Amino acid sequence: MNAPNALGVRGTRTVTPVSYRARRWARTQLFSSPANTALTVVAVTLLAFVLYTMLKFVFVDADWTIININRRLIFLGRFPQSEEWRVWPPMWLAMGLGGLSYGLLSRGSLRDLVWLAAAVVFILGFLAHGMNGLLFGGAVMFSIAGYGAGRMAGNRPQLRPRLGTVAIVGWLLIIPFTVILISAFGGVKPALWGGLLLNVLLAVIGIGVGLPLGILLALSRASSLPVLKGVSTAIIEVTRGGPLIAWLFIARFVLPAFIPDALQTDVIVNAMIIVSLFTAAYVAEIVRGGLQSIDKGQVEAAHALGMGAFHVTFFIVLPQAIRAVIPALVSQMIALWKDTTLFAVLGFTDALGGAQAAYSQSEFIGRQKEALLFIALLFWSVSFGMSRLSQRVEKALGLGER
Amino acid sequence: MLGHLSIPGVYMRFSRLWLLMLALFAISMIAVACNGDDDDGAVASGETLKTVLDRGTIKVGVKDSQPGFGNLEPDGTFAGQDIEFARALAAALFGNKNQVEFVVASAANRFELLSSEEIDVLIRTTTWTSSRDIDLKSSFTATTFYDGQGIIVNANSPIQSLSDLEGSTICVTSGTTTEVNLATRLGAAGVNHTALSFAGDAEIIEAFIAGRCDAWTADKGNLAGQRTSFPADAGGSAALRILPDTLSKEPLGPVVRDGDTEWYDLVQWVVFGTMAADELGVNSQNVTAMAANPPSKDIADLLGASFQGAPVSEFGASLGLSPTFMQDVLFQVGNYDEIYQRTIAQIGLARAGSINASWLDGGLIYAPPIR
Repeated sequence: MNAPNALGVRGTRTVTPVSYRARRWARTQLFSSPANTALTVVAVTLLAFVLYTMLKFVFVDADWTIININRRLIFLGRFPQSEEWRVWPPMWLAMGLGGLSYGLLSRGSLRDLVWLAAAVVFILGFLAHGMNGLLFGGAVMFSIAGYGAGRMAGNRPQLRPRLGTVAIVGWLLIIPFTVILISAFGGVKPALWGGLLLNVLLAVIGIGVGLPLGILLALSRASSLPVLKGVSTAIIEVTRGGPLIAWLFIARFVLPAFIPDALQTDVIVNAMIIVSLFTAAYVAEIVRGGLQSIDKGQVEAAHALGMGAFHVTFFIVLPQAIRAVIPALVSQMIALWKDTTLFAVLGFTDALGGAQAAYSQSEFIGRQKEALLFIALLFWSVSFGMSRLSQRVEKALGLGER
Repeated sequence: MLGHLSIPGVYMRFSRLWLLMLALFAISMIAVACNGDDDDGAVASGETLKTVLDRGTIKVGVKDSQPGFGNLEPDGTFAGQDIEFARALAAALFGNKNQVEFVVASAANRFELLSSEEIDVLIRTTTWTSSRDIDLKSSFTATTFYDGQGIIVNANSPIQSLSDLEGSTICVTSGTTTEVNLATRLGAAGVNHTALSFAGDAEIIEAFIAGRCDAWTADKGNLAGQRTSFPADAGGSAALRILPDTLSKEPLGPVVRDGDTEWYDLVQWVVFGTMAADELGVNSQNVTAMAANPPSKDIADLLGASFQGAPVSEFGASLGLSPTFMQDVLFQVGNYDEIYQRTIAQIGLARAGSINASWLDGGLIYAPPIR
């Protein structure tokens, strides 16, 4: 950058380099030709108009009562009020583990803190009042405690691996724990699970089961055993051959006709199987791409050192392969998260269904903008969070820096 | 393979962890499976009642988005006339109106749900038509609400009847039978008009408020609901008027599968029972007193009580229900009028003077005699 020289030549010393640079950038990027200028003016005007009307709607015109009144419907759907307590312990566990993992993996940054504080203020100020506010406050306490424990371990090397095990085991157990707590001991029938809870459950199960299953499918497709290879290829290709919504319809209306009564499963079990298989098929192909990127020489070298097939696969090939495909895997997870709204065709009232039911209530007819914007915000914030998290993981693994 | 392991400890820990995970997953799946219904499978015809009684709940396909008929309340429970009749069936079957499982049915999948036995009865603002009755292998038990396509205009509009619509623009939901009905009826009457199609009610209301159409058409039950909730800044419900004309017949009521006449009779007579109670003046308030001391033989027969020492009627027993099932229905849910006032009247459709009044008041709600 030789801007000072240019300034000296033109003799406009009063202009600071930064604003000069900004001007030059604008001149070359936005106003380089009449057509470009026209495009800039049109685009900026349109953008300003959309932004203005949207902000005006959000802060002035909108009546957010519909969300306030229908919080339960959006977050829990038809989940019975008397059984609501079953939802909180998994939430506390998740928040505590989240804090612990964050404390272990990161030193914490001001930017993260601002985002998290904004989320907590939003939830406490807008969504969780009274008893729910207290319960949510408890969840925040759990996550702060978890974070504290994770940071403390940073100074005590002997504590770190132990807490790491706690975090991993905790995350692995959270699905069965949640499902058992919600449904067992006179709990809530799966047909009544709903709202955002259902979206989260399906997404977590899809990821938790689909990811390992997909890796296994990828390994068997890459294997030299014809039976293993054939079966996994068939599973992957058949599953990927149909859109998710078609599989949902098939599971609801077609498959039950071919399965004996004794083996009939509940709709939610069907949903879990589908979401896991569907994710697994896509994960398998992503991971297979990663496997192919690993040089054969590494495998040969590992064999030469006397490592068995198990070790070569799980300690040499797979870690590198998965590292290489993290961005694609995260895209798949984000897609899955948004696809969970499709499960409404099985008769569930998920978050989107709850919002739709809310703007059908006679006092809220015509308030669909508020309801849908809120749902959009919910889904966007989780997707965005996943994307940020994956960037953090990539950085921690030193990806793209070598 | 184990012989090659250089770090067996790690591997062992891994495998134990996996085993634990698998076991827990299996347990959770079993928990879910046990919780769900194991008797979802095919049932031979004539056995719906047995299946329902064994299961301990009745599965009803309902709508979750139409105020007055079937919609979800903020606390996650259902409300509406369709819902009340589902509860009435549960009260008749189990003596407990809460032993009902609601399944959200869409306009597209409702008959699929019924034929695949995912639901025992469909009560979802479903119009009784010949093709549905015959081709879709379903049977319409009774009409709980006579709906019909209507037209709504601004309260101060000069339009008073169909013929005044000459040269007007009418908003309509695209791709519905309402659109077809409008063209057919106004075409037959020689009324020139422009139809403006929109994707849904919300878009129509916006267009109407913006003055893009002089009138809008939909089923009257729907129009009445829209009128009650018309935005206050656009004048509220007083700013709208529904024309007296009806463009189509839309009789709504519970639907069951073809082939199980026992079940058909049961559903039908529970609905008729609520209508008969309305005609006889039995309601949730006085049912206990009337059962203890029935003022007439008709009431005694309806409630399964003895009239002046005569034996109790066969009404309940012949349906496979308790003789006093109507007492449970009326005490827990109420008669037809009570249901109507609690649900459809709340969206601004008065019963008095409408075709949904009792036949005694000149309406169409009519229960065959119970004897």
